[in-house]
Amino acid sequence: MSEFTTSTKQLDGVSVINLKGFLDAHTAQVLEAAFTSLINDGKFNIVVNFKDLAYISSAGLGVFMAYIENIRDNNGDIKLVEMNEKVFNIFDLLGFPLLYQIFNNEEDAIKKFNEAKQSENAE
Amino acid sequence: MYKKIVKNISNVRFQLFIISIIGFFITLTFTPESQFICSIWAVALGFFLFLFLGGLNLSKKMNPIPFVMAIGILPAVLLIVNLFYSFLIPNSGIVANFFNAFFHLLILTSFVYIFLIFKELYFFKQKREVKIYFNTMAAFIFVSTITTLLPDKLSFIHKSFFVVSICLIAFNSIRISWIAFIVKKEKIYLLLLAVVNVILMISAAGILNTGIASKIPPLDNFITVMSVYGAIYFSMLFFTTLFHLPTAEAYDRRSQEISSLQYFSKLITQVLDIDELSDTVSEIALKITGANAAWLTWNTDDSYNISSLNNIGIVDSRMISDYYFKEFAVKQNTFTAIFYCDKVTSQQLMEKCTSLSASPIRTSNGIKGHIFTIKKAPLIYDEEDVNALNTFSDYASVAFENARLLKESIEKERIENELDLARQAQRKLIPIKNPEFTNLSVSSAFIPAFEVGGDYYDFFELEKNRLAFIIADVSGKGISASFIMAELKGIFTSLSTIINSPRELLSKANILLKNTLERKYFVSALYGVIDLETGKVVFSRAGHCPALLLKNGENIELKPDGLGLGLDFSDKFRDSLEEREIQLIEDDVIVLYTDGVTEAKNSLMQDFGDDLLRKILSENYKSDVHKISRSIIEEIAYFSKNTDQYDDITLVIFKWNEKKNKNGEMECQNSQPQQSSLMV
Repeated sequence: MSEFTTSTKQLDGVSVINLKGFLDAHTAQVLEAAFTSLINDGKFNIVVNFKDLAYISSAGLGVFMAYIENIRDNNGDIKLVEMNEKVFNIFDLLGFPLLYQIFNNEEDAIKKFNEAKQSENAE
Repeated sequence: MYKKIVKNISNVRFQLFIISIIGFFITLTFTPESQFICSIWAVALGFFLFLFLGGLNLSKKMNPIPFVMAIGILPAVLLIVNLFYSFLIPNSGIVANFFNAFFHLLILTSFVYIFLIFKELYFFKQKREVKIYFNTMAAFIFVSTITTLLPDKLSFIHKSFFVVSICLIAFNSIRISWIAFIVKKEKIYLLLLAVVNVILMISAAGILNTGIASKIPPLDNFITVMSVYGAIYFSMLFFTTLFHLPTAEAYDRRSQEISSLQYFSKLITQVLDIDELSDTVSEIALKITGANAAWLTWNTDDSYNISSLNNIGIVDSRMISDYYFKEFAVKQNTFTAIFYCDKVTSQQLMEKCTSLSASPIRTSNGIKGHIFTIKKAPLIYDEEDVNALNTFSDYASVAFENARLLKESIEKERIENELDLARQAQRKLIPIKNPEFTNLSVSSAFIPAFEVGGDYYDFFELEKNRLAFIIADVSGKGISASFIMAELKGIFTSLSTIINSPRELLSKANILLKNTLERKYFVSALYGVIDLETGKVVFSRAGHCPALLLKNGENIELKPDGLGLGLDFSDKFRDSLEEREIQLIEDDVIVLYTDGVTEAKNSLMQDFGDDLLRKILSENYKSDVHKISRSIIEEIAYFSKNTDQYDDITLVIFKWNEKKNKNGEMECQNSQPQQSSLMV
């Protein structure tokens, strides 16, 4: 059951992590490693794409909590996109929509990042 | 040492021996002319010497070769002494007599000693029943020696005893059984020794008997008998060895196999510690090949580590290993490789090395390491060595694999024990039995997962006839989850008596958790209070699964907003929480559960799901709480048969039955039996 992989790409200055498979206590460290390497590279604008994610457990949700503080302290954010209904329900139950911005597609999320950047520059 | 000397002095044999020495010296020094008396003393001395030396039990060694050598050395020494004796010692006078006596003593001692060695050789690898033959022979030798003292007229007695002695000697020398038990190299050596010994014995006897010993007939006779013994024995030895030579290698191989087997069995009993095992392997590799040094290497990702150095320095071993891995590792040898050291830039090596062997330690996952041995002497590795190393490295591989498996299973057991502990802790945190009330029946079911899932539920009876309830799920697993659960119990037990509002209580709990909860952990919880008189329920949900309200078979999802505990520690948490109030009427059922219920998996990895849960509830809403609970658990068990349970399953059901009061006293028990039926 424990098959989980991530792939990271760069789009308009935003890092997009694609999740694939089952994210649970045993595979959580794969995602942790992906976040750690982005943070070490100073990339704090992160979009996580859930399109290919089949399952997420509470330990998987914990990974997002573990890094969000550090990322937001560095003026970055984690935005979540393309969740299927089942995954969304799990996030929703815990109230994650209050803590994370969730979008339907990558473009919207990236646009949001860039808008924020522009407004920052304008100031 | 001192004690030994004291013991010897107090020994009667030793005392007799000393007396006979003194007597012998006195007679030979002062009255050397009286041949008879000298002879008597000589016989006495020889006899006591035999008793004394025989009593010392000098020989405990298992190797006959040193004995054979000793028999050669003693006459050789006597011959050399004899050669210089006539030059150095004056021909007459007391001093000459004294030295003469001393020389006699030397000769006598030597030959008595030789006789004792013959005795040892005779009994070596020999059955004990043959003692009588040797003792008879010894007796005849002794008699033939004393009968030399008889007058010439009776010399036939001496002669007949002498002849019988020689016959017995010949008889006793026929079977030299120990030859079969020595290795080939030693046998060749023995051939040479036998020839040398025959020559030495005969010449010593000849020279001594015509010279110094001729004055004392018993001594003369004893020397003659001994030299005949030597000549016969070593001739027999020579031929026996010669005949054994063709089969020597077979014996060698067999004995090596046997000793190897012993070493291998030693490996099997030593699987507890990998380091210790490596040392043993290195040691045994030395022994079975007769090599001078040995060590082990362990493959790492891009290099190797050296361990268990035996008789070699780290620098040399690394240099040789480097050479091997450079030249041979690409080939991934699966058998022992032999090569010469001169290729390894031997001028740099601190120790001499002529040839070396490398045997792989194999496991199912490929080659794990190597056993290296080197030989310093010009002897190279022969076929037997290679065979032995191949077999040995196989055994060693198995031993290492066993050690690894053992270590793993110990580790696994440790984790299992830890999980047991966590489960026990969890069991102690949840209520032992369901509370019972007039207007409200309560049922709960809890089935822990193997890896403790972190589910927690509890009831607190409050003043003013109210019941507080909590159901929660900690995001971690195992022992860490059970710690958080314990903390939750503490927090909710104390806060429930102080704070009435579920929303305020959860906000406070969130703040309390801030300091202890790691960022990646969080807790989903649903906390509420039921007024047991009015049926009014107030509750808040912190990220937990919604509560279900069953009204006449219809499911109503109660899902007030609220973040999970530990997800946010700012005001956002409190702001997110919604407090919901409902009024229970007759036969209303409230169902609380954790995601272990809805996410129970079947063999196709499908979820049990909300819909199925609601369907079961709709069908069973008329039943009492325990029956509802049981039917859900049974459905889950049926649904997820043949699959492992990944998460804890917790179910809490309330039913408001004001009019009927509580029913089903008999069934009002905790969930214990249901758990056991499901856990099978």
